[in-house]
Amino acid sequence: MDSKQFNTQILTLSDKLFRLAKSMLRNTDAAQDAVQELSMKLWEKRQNFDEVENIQAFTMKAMRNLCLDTIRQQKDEDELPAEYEHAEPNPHQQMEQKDMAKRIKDMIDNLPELQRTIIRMRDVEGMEIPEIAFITSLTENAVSVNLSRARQKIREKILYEQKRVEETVWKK
Amino acid sequence: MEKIDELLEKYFRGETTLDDEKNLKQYFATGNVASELEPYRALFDVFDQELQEKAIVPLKNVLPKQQTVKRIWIKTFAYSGIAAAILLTLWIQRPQQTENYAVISGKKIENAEYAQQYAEKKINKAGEIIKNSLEPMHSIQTVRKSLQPMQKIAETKEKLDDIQNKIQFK
Repeated sequence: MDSKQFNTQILTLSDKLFRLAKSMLRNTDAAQDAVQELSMKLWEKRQNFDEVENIQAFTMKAMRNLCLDTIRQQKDEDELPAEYEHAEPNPHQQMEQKDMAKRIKDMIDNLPELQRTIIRMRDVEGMEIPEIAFITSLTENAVSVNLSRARQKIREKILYEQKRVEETVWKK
Repeated sequence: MEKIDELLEKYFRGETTLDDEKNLKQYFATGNVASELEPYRALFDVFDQELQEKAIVPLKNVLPKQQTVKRIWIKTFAYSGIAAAILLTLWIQRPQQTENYAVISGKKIENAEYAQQYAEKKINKAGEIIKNSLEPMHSIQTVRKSLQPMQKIAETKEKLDDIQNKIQFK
């Protein structure tokens, strides 16, 4: 793959790669670092891309593996990103988070890594199940199961939030 | 309405296709959402918002510089162009050349023909002066030529004295 092909096929994925990294790492700076690191690695190995059938899936898989390494490293060092430490909002923050969209984002961020990655690949990026299966190294059935679980959890939380808001209104 | 309900149930079970999900997103993007489904509107809004999120630094800006021959040529042309532009700007903005003129007797004369004639006249005059001043030198040369026989007499006298001396010694 020459530099022109690299530009047209890889660089156009930078936003997708960033969103995937941010979803997995739950930290904007760490996600940007991951994009940079991956881009360097891909550039060095660009000659091997000629054999790759689906560049997007291959690149997303490489990003996922890189993020998993970062997460493992953080666990080893017992050092979690700032956003991760405060991922679960305290009651005071919950009061402040009046915006439902913000609360839903937090709900997704608090899902297990695999589930939040899968739900975002499907519902944000619009990827097909086989492609997600390739990226996550799971079977298609496992992807569907994780997707369903993720959506069900979000639904339960949305309904819980809705109920809580209605109760608060009734009390007033 | 019932169809959207069913579709939403399928969605939460993870059984919808991408087209089904597209329909759901379109439905929640419109203003006419049933009140019982309203809580889910924010969920689809979030997916749309997240899709708009861009990488802070585009990937191309973090790649190592590609020092290919083409790039070097592009740089060379670019720098040459910049240099040419600077030179052209300097040439255009250079101070206008002063017009040719001559000062004759304290007056500024811009008529080139007149100035040239005046200069030639003066040069000729100077030539005459030099010629005249050299004339006495010609006179000296004439005198020198006329004195040449006298010099020969002196030389002859010296030779005669020499011969006389030699005879006396003998």
